[in-house]
Order: sequence, then C-alpha cells, then structure tokens
Amino acid sequence: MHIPENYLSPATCAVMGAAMVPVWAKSIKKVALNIPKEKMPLIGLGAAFSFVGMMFNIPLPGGTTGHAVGGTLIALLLGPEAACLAMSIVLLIQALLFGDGGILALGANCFNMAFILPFVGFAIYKLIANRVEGKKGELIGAAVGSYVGINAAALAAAIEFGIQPLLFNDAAGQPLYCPYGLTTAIPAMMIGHLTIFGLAEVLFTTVIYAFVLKNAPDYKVDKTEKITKPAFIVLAVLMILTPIGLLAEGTAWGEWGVEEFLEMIGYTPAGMETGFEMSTIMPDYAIGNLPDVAAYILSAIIGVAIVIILFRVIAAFMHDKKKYAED
Amino acid sequence: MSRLPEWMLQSDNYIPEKDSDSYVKKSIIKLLSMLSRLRMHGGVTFRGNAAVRLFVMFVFILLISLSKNMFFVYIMLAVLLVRLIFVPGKVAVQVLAPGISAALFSVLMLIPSAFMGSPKSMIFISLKVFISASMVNVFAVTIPWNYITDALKTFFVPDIFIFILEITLKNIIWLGDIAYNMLSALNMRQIGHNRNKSEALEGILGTLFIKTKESSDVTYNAMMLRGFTGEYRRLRKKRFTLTDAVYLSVLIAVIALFIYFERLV
Repeated sequence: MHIPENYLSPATCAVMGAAMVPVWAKSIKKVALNIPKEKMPLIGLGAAFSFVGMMFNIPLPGGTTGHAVGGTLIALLLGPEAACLAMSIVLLIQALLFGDGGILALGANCFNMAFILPFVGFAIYKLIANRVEGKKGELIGAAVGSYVGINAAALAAAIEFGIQPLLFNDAAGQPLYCPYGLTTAIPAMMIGHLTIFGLAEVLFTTVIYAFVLKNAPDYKVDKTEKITKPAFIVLAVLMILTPIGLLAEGTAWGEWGVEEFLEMIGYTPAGMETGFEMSTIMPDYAIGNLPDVAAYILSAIIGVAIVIILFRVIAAFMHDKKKYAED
Repeated sequence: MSRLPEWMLQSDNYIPEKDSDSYVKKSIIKLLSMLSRLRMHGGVTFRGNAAVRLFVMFVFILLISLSKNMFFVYIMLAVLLVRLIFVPGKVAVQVLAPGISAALFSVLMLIPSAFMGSPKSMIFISLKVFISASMVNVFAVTIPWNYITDALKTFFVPDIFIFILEITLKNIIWLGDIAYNMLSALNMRQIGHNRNKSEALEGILGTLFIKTKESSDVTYNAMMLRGFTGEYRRLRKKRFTLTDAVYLSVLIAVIALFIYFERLV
C-alpha cells in the first residue's frame, strides 16, 4: 500500500502532509500526557516490532501468503496516538532507508497507514469489545477492527490515486501522475485488500493479540479511552477541499457530463492508433528555441556516466572473484 | 550381549507429507535482506553535512515530481549518473538495483494506461520513479543513520520523534536477529505437513512482542541510570565540506534549469 514517488502530485502530497501536522501534534501531546515516562521506549520498540513484523509472510488458507501492516495491532497494544507516532516512524525509515514509499508521498502514506488505519481499527475494536463480553469480544473486535482498518486505508489510497487524472494533466491532456481514475483505482486497490491483504492483517492482528492476552494478561488496553476528534475534522476538511480543487478547473464534483468524463479519464486511444514511437522517450527534444546542442551534450553526459558506472560495477565483481580465489 | 529389538532393525520408509511452507522461507529471505541492508550502515564513513544532503535530495525529488518537461527529467538523470561515477561499483549496484526494480514495477503498473492512450505518461512516470528512488538510495547508502537523525534535528523535528526513531533503528536489528533465529529453528524442525501454521506464527510473533516489552523496561532503566531524559543535544560540530558546497551549487544550477525549462512547457 506504500505509495511511491511521482504517483501523487506534489500538491496532493502537500495537502496530505498538512493534514497530518495536527494529527501528529495532537498525538505527541496526548502521548506525553497519558503515557508514563517508563513506557516511552515502548513506542520506539513497538515501531521496531511492527517493522520486523511487516517482513513476515503470513500463511493464508489455500497456500498463498500475504504481508500485513499491523497498524491496528499496534493501536491495540499502545493506544491509537502512540501507534500513529510509531507507524509514522516506521514509514519514515522505510521511505528514507529502504525506498519503500516516496519521500514526498510520506504525508499521504502516514495519512493512510499511521492515521486512518490505527484510528479506524481501534474505534471498531472498541465498539465491539465494549459490547461483547470477555476474550471473545476482544478477539472479534481485533479481527473486525483490523479488517475494516486496512480496507479504510486502502480506500483512502485509492481515492488519492484516483483524483490525480481529474486534477493534473499536461497541455496535451496526458496525465502527469497516476493515470488511473477513481473507477479503475478503487477496484484495483480494493480487490486485493478485501481478500488477501485484509485476511493477512486479520490473522496477524488476532494471532499476536491472542498470544499477548494469554501470556501477558497484565497488558490491558484502555477501552474507555476516547478517540481524538481531529481525525474526523481532517477528513471533513479534505472532503470539502477536493471538490473545490475541481471547481477551480471549471467542473463541479460529481456533475460531470458524459463528454467531460470521456475527456477526463476515458482518453481517446491515440496511443493505439499510432503505437509506440521513439519520440515518446524524448518528446521535448526540440522544445522552444533550445539549441539541439543542449540535447547532444546531455546525451553525452548520460552516455559517458553509464559507461563509467558499468565498468565500475563489473570491476567490483571481478575484484571480489580474484580475492576469493587467492584465499 | 543382548540383541537389538526387532523394531530397530526394520528399515524406515517415512516420506514426509508435502506442505507449502514457503511463508517461512520467504520471511527469512526478507528479514535477511533487511538486516544486511541495515548492517551495511555500520561500515560507512561520512564526512560532511547530512542536513545539506537531506535538503538537496528533498528539493531534487520535489523538482522531479513538479516537472512537466521530459528534458528536465533527463537532466536530473544526468545529475544522478554523474553522482554515481564517484561511488564504488558495489555501492552503485546497491543504489541502482532497487531503483531499476521500482521503475520496472512502475512500467508494469502503467502498461494498461499506455493502451488507454497515454504512453507518454508510462515512460515519463517510470523514469521519474527510477531517478527519485535512486536519489533516495544514494542518500541512504552513503550516509550513516546517526547522521540522519542529526540532520532531522537541524530541521526542527521534535525530540520525541528523534527519540522514537533512534530506539526503533537500534532495535530493528536486535529484533530482526531474534525473529531470524526463531524462523530458522522452525524451518529446520518443521517436517511433514504443518496443520496449524498460525500457531507456529503465533509463537514467533508473540514471543517477539513479549521480548519487545521486556526490552522497553530494560531500556528505560538504562536511560535513567545514565541520566538520559529523551532530550537530544548536538555534540557533533557542524561540518561543511567542499562536497557540500558542490552539492549546493548543483542544486542552484538545477533550480535555474527547472525554471528555464518549465517556462517553455
């Protein structure tokens, strides 16, 4: 579910990042207030745990496997605000050190996986666990919470993808970022998450939560804790902002005519008519009054650099082999 | 001398039932690649200003994302490749391999869109993905993480974030090792058909969490013993090397080129 760089426009990334600022501020405040000092390292360790947990392939019925995010589990074990901080750190490390998810898209990824996922998951868990007595209630709450949580996060990501071609196109009408509209992005994201990834998340959450309840019963979750409100305020703001963005383009949210829809997402199949042309790789070669020389110089730099890097890579492997033989 | 019992003399023809235990092997491979990537950081020497590098990398990625001009994106490709000339071959592989796989994945995702009429988007976006991913990798591979936390402090990231980040990074390797050992034990001892895979997983991940909790208490005690309250003060002197100056001048040139080319679109 990690959104990579260049699939969302920087404008969308900025909006999502801005939406996360009050959530982070509130989470830090709440964590500092509610979590005793001796429990503070647990947030970092919880983050390390969910990072390692994400590496696990969860065996699913039918022989397939899937990865879990584990946002709801961390919310159950640490509380949703601490989970938000822990998940944000996990996403930062993944983006910065492992290239999983974009740096610009970090705000959007945090919004989906460090905010929507743990908060929705925890809210559903609370709803059920407070009504169904005993361990059964806890586990059903954890299962349903994690399933709804991951799917809510996936839906948010799908909407972020889906609004890109509606908002950002170049002069020729070609999409600049994710080219799939809502009608493609939502089913594409949801099919996987309603099935494999949803199931992996449920298994991951319930299996570990059951183990903790059995073996560390002193580890209790505060079910009376209230969910912070900014969650819903931010959502409302975003829902209002998106149509405004569209209004600026001259069309109202949800009031597209057939022609407008075609224009926005149903592209005329020009690509199929002309097929792939080499000019698509360097379409701006003769742009404006730019001299051809510039393009040649650039090609030369790229070409020479590629050759040098290639030789260095080959040399690195050759050197290793020689050393190995000598040993 | 007593004879061996009859049953011991019979040959055994136990053929274990086949089972799909790929989840254990896949998890081990994923864990090992993550651990080797983090361990690699131990041997990196870095002289320079991590904050400058982080800032330059961020602006580069922002400009690539903002750009509507293919020529500018090619300039950024040149910048990336020229930077890679100055790293050893092994490091270049570490940078390029994830970048290329990210770009290939992107092409795969965007193939349908090419037939829906936007072939340019497929190449444009995938190329941008490759350059951005590789630029982040250059940063990640050449700068040790303690310098990265140092850089975050420069950008006024709250101490609580840095504290969580430090604890997380230090414990990922520790927890990863424990998880790897338990998975290896499971892999070796699991013979035949394991009907209850989720129980095996419960044992490993549950134990991992209990260890996490125990370590948290130990960490707190260690912090108290050393008088550490979670507040970070900068002890390392701020450095500014010639390489940092080169980075900044390239940044200025790139911004100028960006403005020039975006005007042409």
